[in-house]
Formats: sequence, C-alpha cells, structure tokens
Amino acid sequence: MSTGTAAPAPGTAPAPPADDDVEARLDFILDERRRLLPGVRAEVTRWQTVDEQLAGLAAAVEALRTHATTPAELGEALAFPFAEAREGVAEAVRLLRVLETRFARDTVTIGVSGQARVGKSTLLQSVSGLGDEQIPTGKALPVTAVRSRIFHSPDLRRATLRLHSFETFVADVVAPYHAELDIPGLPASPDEFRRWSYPAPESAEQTGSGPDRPSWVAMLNRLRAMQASFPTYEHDLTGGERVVALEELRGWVAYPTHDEEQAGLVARRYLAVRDVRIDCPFPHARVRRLGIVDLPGLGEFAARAEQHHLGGLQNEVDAVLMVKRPVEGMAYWGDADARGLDLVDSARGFVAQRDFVFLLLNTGDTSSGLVRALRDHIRGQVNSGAPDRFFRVLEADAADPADVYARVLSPVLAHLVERMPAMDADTFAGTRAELRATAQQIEVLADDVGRVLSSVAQSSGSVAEDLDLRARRLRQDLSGALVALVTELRAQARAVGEDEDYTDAVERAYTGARDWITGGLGVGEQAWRDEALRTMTVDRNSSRFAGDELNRVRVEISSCFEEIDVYFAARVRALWERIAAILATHTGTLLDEVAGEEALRRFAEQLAQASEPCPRLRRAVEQLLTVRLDYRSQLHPRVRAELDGLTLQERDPVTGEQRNRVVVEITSDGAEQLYAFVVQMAEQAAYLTKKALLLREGVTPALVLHAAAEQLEDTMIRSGDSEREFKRLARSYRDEIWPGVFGEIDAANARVAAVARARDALVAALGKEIA
Amino acid sequence: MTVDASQNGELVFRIGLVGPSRVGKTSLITALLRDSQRLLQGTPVSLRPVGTATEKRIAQHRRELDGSLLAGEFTPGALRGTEEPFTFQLLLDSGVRGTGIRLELLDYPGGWLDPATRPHDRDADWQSCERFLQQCSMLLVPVDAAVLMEPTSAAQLRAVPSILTTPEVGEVVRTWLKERNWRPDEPALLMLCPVKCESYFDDNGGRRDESEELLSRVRRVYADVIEAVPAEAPHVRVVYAPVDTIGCVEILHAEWTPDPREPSGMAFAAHYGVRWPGRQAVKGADDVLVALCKHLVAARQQVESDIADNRRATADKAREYAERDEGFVRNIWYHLSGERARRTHTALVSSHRAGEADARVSALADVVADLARRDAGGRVRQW
Repeated sequence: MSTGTAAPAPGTAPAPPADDDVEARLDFILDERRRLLPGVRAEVTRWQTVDEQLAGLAAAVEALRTHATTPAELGEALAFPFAEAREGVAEAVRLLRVLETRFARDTVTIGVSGQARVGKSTLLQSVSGLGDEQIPTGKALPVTAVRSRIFHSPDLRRATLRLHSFETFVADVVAPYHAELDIPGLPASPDEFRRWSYPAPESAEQTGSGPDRPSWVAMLNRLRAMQASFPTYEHDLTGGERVVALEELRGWVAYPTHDEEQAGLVARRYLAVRDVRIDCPFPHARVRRLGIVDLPGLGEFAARAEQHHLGGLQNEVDAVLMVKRPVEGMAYWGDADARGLDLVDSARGFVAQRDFVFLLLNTGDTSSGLVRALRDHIRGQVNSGAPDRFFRVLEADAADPADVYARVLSPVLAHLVERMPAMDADTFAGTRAELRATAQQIEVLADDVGRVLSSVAQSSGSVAEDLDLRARRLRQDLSGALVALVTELRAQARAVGEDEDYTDAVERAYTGARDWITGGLGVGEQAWRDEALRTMTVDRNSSRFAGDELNRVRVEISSCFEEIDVYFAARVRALWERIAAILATHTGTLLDEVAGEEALRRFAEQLAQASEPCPRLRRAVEQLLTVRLDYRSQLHPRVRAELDGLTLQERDPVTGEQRNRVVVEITSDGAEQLYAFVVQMAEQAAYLTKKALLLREGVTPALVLHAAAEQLEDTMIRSGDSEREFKRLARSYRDEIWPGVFGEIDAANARVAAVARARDALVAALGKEIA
Repeated sequence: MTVDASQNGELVFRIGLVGPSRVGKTSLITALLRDSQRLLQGTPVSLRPVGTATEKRIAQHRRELDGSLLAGEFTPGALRGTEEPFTFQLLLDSGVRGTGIRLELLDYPGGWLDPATRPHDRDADWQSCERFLQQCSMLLVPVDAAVLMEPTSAAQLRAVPSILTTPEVGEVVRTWLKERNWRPDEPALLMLCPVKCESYFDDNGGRRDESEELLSRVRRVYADVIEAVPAEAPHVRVVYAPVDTIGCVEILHAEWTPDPREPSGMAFAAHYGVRWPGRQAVKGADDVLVALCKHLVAARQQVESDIADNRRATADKAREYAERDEGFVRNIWYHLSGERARRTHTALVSSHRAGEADARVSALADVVADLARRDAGGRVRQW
C-alpha cells in the first residue's frame, strides 16, 4: 500500500475548490478518500491472504515440528512465534478496516461524546432541528439508549432502524452481561432467555455468592429487567432494517422514564435496536454531507458501554466533540472527564490529538461563573495552562441552534476542511508504518523458517540421491553374495569326481539298470528264454531276436540313466533357490511369499514390467531359468558310444567285414546261451555308461551350474548396463525393496515441502504490496 | 637273477617277479607258455614248465581258466600281497638235454624287504631271495590293468597304490636297481607288464582303445619306480609291455567295496565276461619273450665286445674266465656260443648223435637271436 500521501496523483484528480467554499472542499476531500478506497480494500484482502498463509505456514510447521519422526533438535528449531505474528496481522487488518471505514464514509461525521446529562442530545437537536420525540432529552436520568447517526438530508425525514435478530441481541447485549456476571452459557432461543433463571440480587447477597461489589447487583438488576421486559421487544428482534417516521422514533431509542419504570412493566424496544440512522434537513447546514453521531453517554452503567463508545469513535467519526457542562458542583475537570478524554483520545488512531477532539463547554442553562471556572480548570488541567494547547476548547449554548452552528459546527467544519487531508495522510502513514512493521516481523519469521528448511535439506539430501546410493549398495550386496555363490560352485566344479551327489545319482541309475538286467531283462530269465526259443524257432535263426533284444536293452538302459534327471532337476532347483534367496534377501518385500523358480520368474516379470524396464537384468534372470540339466540332451550324447556295443553286429578285426557277435543253436541251450550273452552285453554297456558318466570331464552338473551362476553374476553385475539398470530397478520398486523407507522419507519431505510451500506463499503474499 | 649252469648243464636265467598275489603272475606265465607255442612253431625249440610245483600251478590255472571260459565269465580273486616265495621254473628247451635255457622266476613277498614286516623265522628265506634278486638282470612287474583303469572316484583312485602294493614293488625295484648299479657293464631289463588288458585295447577283439590312458596311468602310478631308474642305474632298460593274458574276456563291471581289512580300506573286484565264442587269444606275451631274447642277445654281444676289447688270446682263456662263473654275461656267451654244450655232451652221446645235438643247440641260439631281432609290438614302449 502506498501511503506516501492521501492526495490524488497529479494529473488524475480534479483541482481542489476555492478555500471559502467549505462544502465544495469537503466534497472534494470525501471524493479523494473514495478514490483510495479500492487500494485499501485490496490491501485488506492482501493481509487477509497473508493471515491465511501465515495460518497455513503455522499449521505446516506444527505438523513437521510435532511429527514423531522429526528429530527433537529440528522440533526445537521450528518453535516460531506464529501466534504473535498473527496478532500483528489481525491488528493490521483492523487498522486497514478503520482506514476503509474512514475512506468509505460519504459524509463528514462528527461524534458527540461526553458524560451523561451534559446536553449531548440537546446539542444534537440544535444541529439537526429534531425535537424530543426523535432525540429524547431529560432532566434526570439518561435518556438516550441507542446510538443515533443523524445525517443532513434536505429532502428526507426518516429514521432507519437497524434491528437485532435474537442471535445478535444475545451476542451484543446479553452476552456482555453474562460475562460481567460470570453466568455460564447463553440462551439459545427466545424461550430459553425468557425462562433463564437469573439469581435474585437478594439471594446472592444472602448467600454471598455474588462478587463483593455493588455494580454486580446493579448489573444483575439490569439483566433481569431486560428479561422481564423481553415480551415488549421480542417481536422486534427481526434483524434487518426498519424505516420509521421520525415522530415514532422516541419509543425506539429512549430509556423508560422514571415514571414508566415505577409503573411496572415497561417497554424496552431500544434493546431490539442496534443503531438508528436519521435523515433530516439540518436547519443551519451549509454542507450537505454532514453527519452527527450520538454516542451513548460515557460512564453510563451498562456492560461494555465504554467498548461500544470506543468502537463508535474509531470507526465512524472524523472528529469528536466532547461535551462538558459546567453545572453546579460539576464545574471542574474531574477524573471521570479525564478518563473519558483518554478513552476518546485513544480512538484517534494516527490522527493528531488536536485534530480529532474538541472540548465543548455547554454554556447553556448555567452561570457564567461556572463556565469560567470550568474553562479555567480545563486550561489548567487539560491544556497545561495554555489555551487550546492540546485540545481546542469551544463554548456554546447547546440549546441554541444558531450559537451551536456559529461557535461549534462552523469552526469544526472549517478545521476539518483544513485538516482532513492531513488527518487522512496521518492515518494512512500510521497504518502504513504499522503494516510495514508487521510485514517485517513476518519477513523475519519467514527468513527464520527458510533457514531451518535449508539446514534440513542440507542434512537429509534428496530422495533421488538416497535412492542412487541404495541402488549402488544393492548392486554391491548382490554382487558380493553372487560372487560367494559362484566361488563355492567353482570349487565344486573343479573338484571333479568329488561330486558325491552326482556320483550317487549315477550309481543309483546304474543299480537300477543292473537290477533290470539281472532280474531277467524286464521279463524274467525263463520267460525271456522261452520267448527267445519261440522266436528263433519261427525265424529259424537267432539273429533277429538277438538284434531286437539288444536294441530293447539299449533303450531300457538309456531310460534307466534318465533317472539322473530327477537329481539334475533337484540340483537346478537348488541353484534357483539359492539365487532366489539371495535376491529375496536384498530386495525387501519384492519377492515376498515366493521362492525358487517362482521367485525368479516373478523377478523377471518385475524387471520387464518395471516403470523403468531393466532388459539386461531380465535377460540374465531368464537365461538362468533356461538352464537345463538332463541326461538325454547333455550326457547321453557323450556316453552314446558306450551303448553302441549293444548291437548284434560287429566288424571282424581280421576281415573287416560285419559279422554277428553271437550265433546260437535254435535249442533251449542256445536260448540260455543267448540270454547269457545279452545279459553280459547289457551289464557291460550299463557299466561302461556309468563309468563314462563318472569319468568324462565336462559333464558334471557342478560345471553347468557354476557356469550358469557365473553367467548370471556376469550379466547382472558386470555388464555395461548393470549400474544403470540397478538404478532403474531401485526407482521402479523402491517402496518394495526398501519398504517404509521412502514412504517415510517422502512423508517427511512432504512435511518439509509443505512448510516450504507455505513459506513461499506467505513471502509471495507479503511481497504483493498494492500500490 | 643270474645265469649259471643247472645240474643238467642248462643255462639258468633268473627273473625277478614283483607284484601282489593274484595280480596275474600265473596268468602271465601261462600266457607266455601259450604264446611261445605260436612263436616257436616250426622250430625245434619249445618253452615249457619244468618241475612239479610249476607244472601243478600252471595246470591248475589252465583248468580254472578253461572252466571260466566255458561258463562264460570269471571273477579273479581279490589281489593280495604275496605271502610265500615261489619260483616258477620254465625251460626254453632245445630238445637236447643240458642245452636249454632254464628260466627261473622268483615271486617273493614284497613285505619281506622291510625287516619290520618280515617274519623273524623267514630270515633264511629272505637271504635266499636277496641273493636271487642280486643275481637276476631282469625284473618283471605285472600290473593289474583293471585296478588302474576302473576307478571312478577319488577314493577309489587313492586306493590303487595300496591295492597294487606299489610302495612295496617300488622298494624291491630300488633295491634291485642298486644291485644293478654295481654291474654297469651288464645289460639289465625292467619290464612293466600290465595284465588283463583286454578291455583297454581294440587290437585283439576289444571295441575300445584306452591304451593311452592305461599307459598314462601306469606312468603315473609307477612314477617312483620309473623315475628311480635314471637315478639309481641309468643303464637299465625299461620296457612297458601290456599283455592280454586271456584275450577273449572283457570287464562286465567292477566293484569297489569298503573293506577295513584291506590296507586301502577298499576292496576291488572286477567281473569279466567272455567274448563270444570264448577262444583264448593271448596278446602281448610275445613282446615279453622278445624282450627277454633281446636281453639275452645283448648280453652275448656284450661278451663279444669285451673279448674284442680285451684282445684275449684264446678261446680257452675265455672259457676259463667264463667257468669261473663271474657273471651272467660270460655265462651267456659261453652258453650261446655252444661251447658248454659241446664240452658237456661230447662224452655222453655217441658220435652219430653228436651232430644232431649240435644242430639243436645251434637252433636254440638261432631262435633266440631270431626272436631278439623282431620288432616290439605296437603296445610296447621303451624308456
């Protein structure tokens, strides 16, 4: 907010009117104020935004500060005075509201203050031309119960009542009494209020339950009177405005008279009225846009009376006439007057004291001696002996409209015409200074928050950095575990002949084959021989049967050795389980509830479906899953030659021609002989196969498994893409691999980020000072 | 071993035989006898067992072998260290009494070499064995090829030296080599003879050739023995000659079973099947005979060389030298030159048969010389 001057910018505002044209000059001043209004309102909005951001920052800081994972040291560093700052903002908004109200007024408004019974209403009557029916005056008791704002209007004669609803009545009228009287709770409905059980002053006195002060009883009596007369104004608690004829106004604004009080039930409709605006032609007005505000009497006995008084002074008037009437026994400046002046003075805000308050000595209906006495006393007590030193003192007969105009209204208007631009400028400047101070306070706060955030960021590093570090460690850990496994498998692979499990598997397969052979070649010796004899008899030779049988035996022995596949499969599974366990150990929950082959398959899928795919790692795992150890494809070709002997034909070493290994007679003896031959051939072939399986280098499963594991380790860890793909894996599955770690880091970072965002928003809001 | 005249006037050629019991020494000798028939076919010379003990043992072995071949399979007993000394007596017979070459092969317990394991009451026998060992210029080491070739595990491989009594064999050989070193002018022959080799060669009806592996394993297992030769007696010739002692058998399966009674903790048994139709076909025994003949001829040449070198004046002086029995070389020359036979038989036979006798003696010498000229078989290696 630019508060350098309240005057319009050169070239954009019309030239001020001539000095002697008070009305024109006041119009000009009021118009100039209005021009500033949007800026002030924008500033209000800005400070409201600042307040919101401040509240947001406070909440974000509080969330971070009090979170269980926040280090105590950081928590302490985050203890910032947000409440104090928000009070500052509230004050700034309040000041801006005052300014807004000031600049929003379309009249020059003069407040009339003073103790009860000094002639304020009389003065108002003189100014407004209204009579007792509109502005009641009395001789004894206070009569004005409602604050009236009276505006000069050449064409209108009306009163606009702003009425309480029941809710505002309770909040503005009843609640202060409850507070003063320490009565808990508030009536929520008219009925509740009607039936509210207020203590009787007598019982309070008897029990001693009431506070030891007379005002307590008086206050209670007032409240009880309000309750008793509730039916007289309950129907008026409608909220909104009501226009009434000036002639009917008194009943709305005046306290009951003494006689009425004495008569019993009295109407207290004034309790339904928040305030009243009276529009009427002022008889001596030289200005159209003039308003007079009647402020309820100072020292009046009502809850929060002074606060109401002050509120009216601050928001609604450009200057205050503080009326003092030198009546007998009161023709001096007493404590009550001093307190009243202090109260009024406190409402002037940034306006100079002398510009805001005028003391008016009501000289009507009193003696000149008393006037003089009071005048002198005021000069001594208030103005330190010099006339008008701090406060300008006016004198007039409040009951004399001409005198009031000439000696009060005219000089006050002249003063305002002269001084209002400066008063506005002072208000503006004062507000600006306050806003600046508050803004600086908040800036310091934001800076402090920023420093703490920066230290947090420096100490914790970013999630990305942490993830990279973890990916690197994951790769190192897996490398270590896989290298250990490969080393172990290499040792096993090099200990050729020492692979006892493999030897056992081969021996078992061999035993199976021998059992089959010696048990009668699968059919029993006698059955075999019988069949041999039958077939040979039909064929008239032994060749076909012998040949067929040797073929059958060859196939069967081969099948027997395929039993090794069971062992092979177990070995491959064991390798997969080892590697899956290694992977599972280092990848958190990624491979939970799966093991071995299933785990590897899932891992391969995860690598393929990762948000950042890892093709090299996936291939490595898939390659591992393709490892097969089986007799048929890997061992059989190598031992195939050993089964070649199981043929009937052989080459004659002498002639080089093919000949039958055996020819037997077609007799029972021949069948026996052929059986012995086939069994012998089979036994030898089985034995040689076993021997070949155990002796031939390069076929032990340990070698194959070692090669498979080494290939995996090589591809996963040593390939050129390894490091990159481990980072991808880490990014894709960080919450599974390091469960909770990044969730908490994220949450913690989110809390820090929320503070940072709130701080940035606050700084931005602060920075948008509106010109 | 040495050569001297027997009571019948035959030249005695002593051969040391070193190896565990049941390694196949009898088989080897039987194979020698069988193969010699083929080698000496068409000559007046024959090789035959002499003496009741040898004849019995050979006959017993032949019966058992024939029975096994008939049954289609056989299982040799487990190998064990020789417990009693036994001398095989063979005669390379010219048909003329007193003119043959008697081959004496002494099989004695290797454990006797070590005084700690030698029975106290056998000192006299040991001294006899020791003398024999000092005298023989040829040492024959039969090796069970199956024991070398059938292991499939490290434990089985570790048991091999113990089963083959390789350390004891090594001790005997080293002792013999030391003795040979005292006689550097005498040819000496160490023969390593793997037996039961039928399953590892494809030159005698077998289907697979694992001869190189067999050779490799012999060299590995007997490395100490082989390497001791250049160190102890560089002039000793080492000949490797694998023998199919039967020829028509093949291993069907072999078993290695734990046996705490065996020093190795493991017993080995091979089960053989007979290759149809079960006809014996010894292979490689001829190489042993040829090597033996080469050795004899080398000895003769050494004598002749000595004679030439020493410019001896007369044969009579040489004869006197020889008759002093100062060594195998002189004796062999003496014998093979026919001198001894003539002297011995002149008084005994009538003049009309003297010519025939001379012819026979001469034929023996020719046969030996002829065999010695033969090339060694393809299986043989010489180091």
